[in-house]
Amino acid sequence: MKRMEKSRKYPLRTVVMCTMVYAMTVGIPVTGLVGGYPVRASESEVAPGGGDTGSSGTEIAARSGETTKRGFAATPDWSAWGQLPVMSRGRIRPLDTVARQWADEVTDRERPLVSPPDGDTPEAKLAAKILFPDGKTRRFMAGEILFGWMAAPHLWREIPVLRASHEELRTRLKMPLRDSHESRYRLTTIAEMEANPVFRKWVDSLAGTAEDEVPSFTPFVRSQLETLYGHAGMLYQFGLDPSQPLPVSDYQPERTYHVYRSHDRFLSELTRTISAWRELALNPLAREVLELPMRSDIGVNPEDAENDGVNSGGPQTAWMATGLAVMRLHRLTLSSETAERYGLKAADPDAVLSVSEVDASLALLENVARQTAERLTDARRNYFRTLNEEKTSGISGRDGGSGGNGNSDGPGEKSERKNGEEDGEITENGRTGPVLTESQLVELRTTAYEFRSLARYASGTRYALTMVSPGPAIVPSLDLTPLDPRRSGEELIPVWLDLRTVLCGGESLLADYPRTELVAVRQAWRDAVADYQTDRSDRDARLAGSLARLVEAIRTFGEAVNVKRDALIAEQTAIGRTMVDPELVTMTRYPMRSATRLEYFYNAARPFMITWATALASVIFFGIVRLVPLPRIRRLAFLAGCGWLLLSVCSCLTGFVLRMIISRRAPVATLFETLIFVGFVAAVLGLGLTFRGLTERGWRRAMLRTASPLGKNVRERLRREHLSVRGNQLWFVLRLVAGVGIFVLLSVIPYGESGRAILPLLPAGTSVGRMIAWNVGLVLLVASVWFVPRMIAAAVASVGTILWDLFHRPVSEMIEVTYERQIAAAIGAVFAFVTTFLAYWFPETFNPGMDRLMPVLGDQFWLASHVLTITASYGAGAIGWGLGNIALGYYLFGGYTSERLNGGTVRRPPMICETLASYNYFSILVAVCLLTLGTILGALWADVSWGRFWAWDQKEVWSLVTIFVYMVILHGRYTGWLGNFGMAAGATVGRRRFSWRGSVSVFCYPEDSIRMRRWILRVCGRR
Amino acid sequence: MGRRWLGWLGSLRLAVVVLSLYAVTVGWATLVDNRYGATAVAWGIYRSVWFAALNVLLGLNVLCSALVRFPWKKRQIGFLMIHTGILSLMIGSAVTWRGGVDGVIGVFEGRGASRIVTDTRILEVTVDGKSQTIPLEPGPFSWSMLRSAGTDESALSRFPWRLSGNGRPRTIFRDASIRIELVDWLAQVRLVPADDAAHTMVDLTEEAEKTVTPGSSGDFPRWTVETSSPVPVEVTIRPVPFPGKDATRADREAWVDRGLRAARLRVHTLRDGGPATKTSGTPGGSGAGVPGAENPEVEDYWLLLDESEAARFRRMAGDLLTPDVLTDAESLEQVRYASLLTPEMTSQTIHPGNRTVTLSLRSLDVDAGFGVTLRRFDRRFNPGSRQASHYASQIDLTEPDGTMILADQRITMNEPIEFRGVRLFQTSWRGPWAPGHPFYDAIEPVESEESGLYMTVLSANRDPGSGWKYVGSFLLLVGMTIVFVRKAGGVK
Repeated sequence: MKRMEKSRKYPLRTVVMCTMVYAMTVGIPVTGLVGGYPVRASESEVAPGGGDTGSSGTEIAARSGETTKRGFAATPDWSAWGQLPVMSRGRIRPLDTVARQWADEVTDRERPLVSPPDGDTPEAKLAAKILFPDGKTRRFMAGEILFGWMAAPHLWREIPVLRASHEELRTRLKMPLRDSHESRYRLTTIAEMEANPVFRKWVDSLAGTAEDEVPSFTPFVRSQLETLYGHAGMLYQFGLDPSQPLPVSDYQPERTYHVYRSHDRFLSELTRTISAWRELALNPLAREVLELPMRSDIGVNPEDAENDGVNSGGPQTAWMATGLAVMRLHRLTLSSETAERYGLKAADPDAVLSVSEVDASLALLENVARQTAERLTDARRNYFRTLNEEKTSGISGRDGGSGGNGNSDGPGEKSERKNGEEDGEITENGRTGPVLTESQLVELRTTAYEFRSLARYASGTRYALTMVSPGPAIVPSLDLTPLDPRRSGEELIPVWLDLRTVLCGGESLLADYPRTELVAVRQAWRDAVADYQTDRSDRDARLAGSLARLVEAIRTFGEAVNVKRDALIAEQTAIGRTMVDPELVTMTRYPMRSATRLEYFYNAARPFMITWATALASVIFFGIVRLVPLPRIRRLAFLAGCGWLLLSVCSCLTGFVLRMIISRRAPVATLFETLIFVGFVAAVLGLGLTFRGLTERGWRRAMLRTASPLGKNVRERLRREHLSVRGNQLWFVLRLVAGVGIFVLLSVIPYGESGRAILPLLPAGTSVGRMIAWNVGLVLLVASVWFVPRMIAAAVASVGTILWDLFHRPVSEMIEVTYERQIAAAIGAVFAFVTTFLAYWFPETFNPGMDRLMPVLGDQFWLASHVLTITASYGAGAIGWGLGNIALGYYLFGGYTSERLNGGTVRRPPMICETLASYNYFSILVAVCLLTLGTILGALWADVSWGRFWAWDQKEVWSLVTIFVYMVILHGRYTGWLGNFGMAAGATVGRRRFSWRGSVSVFCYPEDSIRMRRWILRVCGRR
Repeated sequence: MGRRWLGWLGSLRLAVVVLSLYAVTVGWATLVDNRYGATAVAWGIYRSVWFAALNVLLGLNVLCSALVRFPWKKRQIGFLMIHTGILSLMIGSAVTWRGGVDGVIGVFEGRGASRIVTDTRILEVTVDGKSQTIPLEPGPFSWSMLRSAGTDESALSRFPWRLSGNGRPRTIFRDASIRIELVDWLAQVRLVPADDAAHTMVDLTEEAEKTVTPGSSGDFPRWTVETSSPVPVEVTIRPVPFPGKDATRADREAWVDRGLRAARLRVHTLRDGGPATKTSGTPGGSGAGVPGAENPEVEDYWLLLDESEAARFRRMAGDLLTPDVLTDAESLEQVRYASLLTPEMTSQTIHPGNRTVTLSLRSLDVDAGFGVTLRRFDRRFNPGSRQASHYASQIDLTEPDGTMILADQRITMNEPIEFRGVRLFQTSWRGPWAPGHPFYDAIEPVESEESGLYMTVLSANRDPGSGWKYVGSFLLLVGMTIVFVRKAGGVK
């Protein structure tokens, strides 16, 4: 009989149910994803990531190997350069961050491993000598590569930094796949690409100048080629020196190839400017104004006039001057054939314009346009002022037009213009001034606006001339247009000047900037470039010094610009000409010295890498606990595992705190952060469950000691434990103080833009709903004022009481108490590892950048409370899922016992299932409470922020589904339909399927969610 | 007996069943959402009769489970709070659903507005001067599609759309002599030249002057559009096919969310009062009925409703923008906001049996009860980018007649204001329109300085259920906490 039992370890029913549960946990996600997210077949095929998933597993292994294999060779100190403040995507960051993003894109690594050039050219030899002193492959800082490309592009032409790793691509380009050591080539050089005939031909085909037939590529290879081309263009842009003269005509293939996008942008801006001018030239009113004599300060460069040789005395009117300038500029936009047709090329084969010439022409255009616009506006203003004066003072005679506007410089011109236009009509009421009809006034306004637009376009073009797009923006701009709260956003005027513009921008463009500091920056740059290229033995020291001086020079310059900009803003605001957004002004000031230090540290320290690495160590030790049958080793491994996990939790926490300080927003708001946070919560909860045996007594004691005011029960218990009540009374005082603090925080300190508190003492509206909401707020306020200090006090006190408790217990007992619960910590470790590892190694899917959030997510209070609660519940659900799976494993493969009961035989599942069920219940309870709270908070946030409580959108529905599934489990437990087995099964279903879907990604950037879906599809597809 | 029923309704077993059912249903609903879009799923599931029944069942279950435990003990406080909280939330949602108003107010800078433009469609029937509005929920699909749903040629899957209880022919007016039925609904139609079935769109916006004369015959109505070109164009409406299952989500949503809709109304003249006389408006299709004593006279009429972005904008702009201005803007090719419908196409007057019946189909707009005047619209970009980080409207609140009540209020993202039961939220904006643009020249007074003109779009809602929801949320939050503390304390 006994034997029979042994042979069939588990009942058939259990097997069937386990199989069903597993089928559901695996099947639902796959079908749900495929059915749920209609990604077209073509999309997933074309997706560039789709192709290289095959190798990603091995690549990860390779990458993680790399990070430990090689360190840095001796290089100069790049830290000063790396900390240079740079304005990028709405935030001031250290140059290091920007360079890392860029390096990750071009080379596929933030700190790529680069091998020395093997060419024979003198540049390659010099590069090998100075950049690879020991002749070996070495790792480069992203900032170093950036500097190298900007300072000495010729040295980098033969150093492999371009990502071209895909085998299909390399085969089509006839590039070798493996080197002599049989390891795969991943990178290529600019020189190699330029020499590659296939690539060359493909580029020619883009420019439309391919002579013979262009080879056809599959869509995948084409997309890889485009990426490669884009990256090559980016490198060229870094090396591009805009101070070199521009050819008068463009669209020569070589030029297009070299300058790729930046030049294109300049040309498109220029085209827009010219067409705006042309349109104005057709407008008779505009033309008339332009033909008036110009003011002396219009800024016509006499040199330009001479160069054109049209009029030795310089053009007399703005009309002529701008016409000449536009003609000159227009030559830049002609295609070579058109230029030839106009005889430009034939007459002047090497016709070029220097940057300063182009800039001067644009400056002229800009100044004329701006002054004309102001003239017209002044005229309008004066007209209406006169009208008003006449209205108020009756018919007061003719002086109104020229009187009372001392600061306006052109009353004469104005009346002249008006007379020219209107011939001094006389109205019925005897007024002698000109009278404009409504349509004329509208025309006047429109023309003024068009001139203003022209000025803005011209100004944008001037910046585009030297602004090479990915180059770092290093100092605030003195142009106030981007600070205007009402700007339309179509102009391309930068809010910070980029390095190239500072180094070689046109004289007139930088005329307002502090001169000496500007010159100092340029000199420091030249020094640094010289030191970079030198092959002297003290290169490293010299370079480090000159880099530090360069950064310091930029800082001095930036601070001088700050002062100048403030003065300019004050002056412009005083005369009411410009409106600036004060917050934008603060956001774009040149920052303090320490502003970027923390982020630089964060980049270098990589806390999340430490997190997954330590979690991995912990997982390994917990694996030993499972696999090694020696109790002593098990105990030791368990302790080691817990230690590593603790370390992992600490580094993760550090990472979050750093990110919070750097980005100045609630910590868990992007997909990257959410994913890591789920693992973090799982680890914390796992540790908490494991150590519960140790902490419970201490926590109880802390609660008891901090209980106040003293009730009867508490007094009784205190007396029983022989404790004095004095300590509790002290706590009570502290509690009152903390309560006041929380009251002030919640209901007094203004929060958000409207200056209301989080829980205001006065109702926000008068409707019944508002009043009720206000009352609920008041109750919440009272509750938080009363209970939060208590919790804080207990938490603080628990540190002491737990330690005290631990001191009074034997170590072996403590280990036993925790060891028997080790499974929770193990699950936590696995989750912490998996989530952080994924987030860290898939930056394309989980964008680690600390960018600004969408404006709707601007409310930090709600964002933090809602998202933290929800993600924490996922963490708890993750633990429940892990426990459930392990329990199911025991149900399937564990040893069943049978005992006789009331005459029949009862089969009992393994003992451990009971324990697991209890943990499982606990984690489900935590998960469901947090999830419900989080969902309700989300609904309240939606109601408060955008006026709908519940709208049945996908993320809401899925969190509701999750809640319901957990509710079914919890209720089913009471009905007796679900035993411990059902709990285990339910936990796996509930967590696995429902929580993540749609819920997380919605709060992140939309592109994040799309990438996330693709990624999930890929992973599922591969499984 | 009653006790037994109460016990059954409040049983845990029912709770488990209802919760599972609910979870499966809404989970399924998201799949439908993915396939047919949010509008479709809201109409077909969330606002359907059976879903309401499920909600009621859940509510009853929650209520009874609390009632059967009466008298309550002290330890049940958490349980009670959670269950009353859920009930309160459900009641709040129901109240909002019945009596809430949700729409947008668009205000130009320097101008005022007081009407909330909603997405609710209404049919207005005026019989002999007495007017009555009938809210319509015809759904996002043509009714013929619903009828064929589940068959092979249908683009809709085997989803029980018709179970929703919406989207069926019904009588909208009836008295002793006439009966008006809404017999068909075309969710998406296009105006095409009558003779050309090639589905070329007729761009009625091209010409400033056009008159539309209804014509007759065929399944679909005909209109004659007279433009300044010598030959008048005869147009008919044609349903646009649903993009189908394999189309992208964007395509399907585009199909659902904008365009022309058409309703087919059938007028039965019950008492024989001689043939119906028509002065304006013409029957669209030939009625099937034969006039006679026993067979009432039956005639069909088509009404069009424009739900395009253009129509929405025009309704928000109110009468600030004349059709001329809109057409000018159209011709500038900068904003395609102009609308192409003329009043004749959205409403018809007919005279069945010597009665006067005016039918019109439109979206509902509601008077907010006060005026909103926009002083200024501000928008901030993240520095160095064109990603808006913040936008705000500086508004005045006035009486409908313009008397100032509250001056200089600021509405930003996440900072709504409430006034007279209506909450105003910053949603989005239109513009800026520059001087020279017809909108700008039409709206801005001549004296104003040149700078862009914005229109702020505020979402406005009146939510009578919000009190219930807040109380419910509060009870739920507190109850959850209590239960958690109790239960978690019990777990070793």
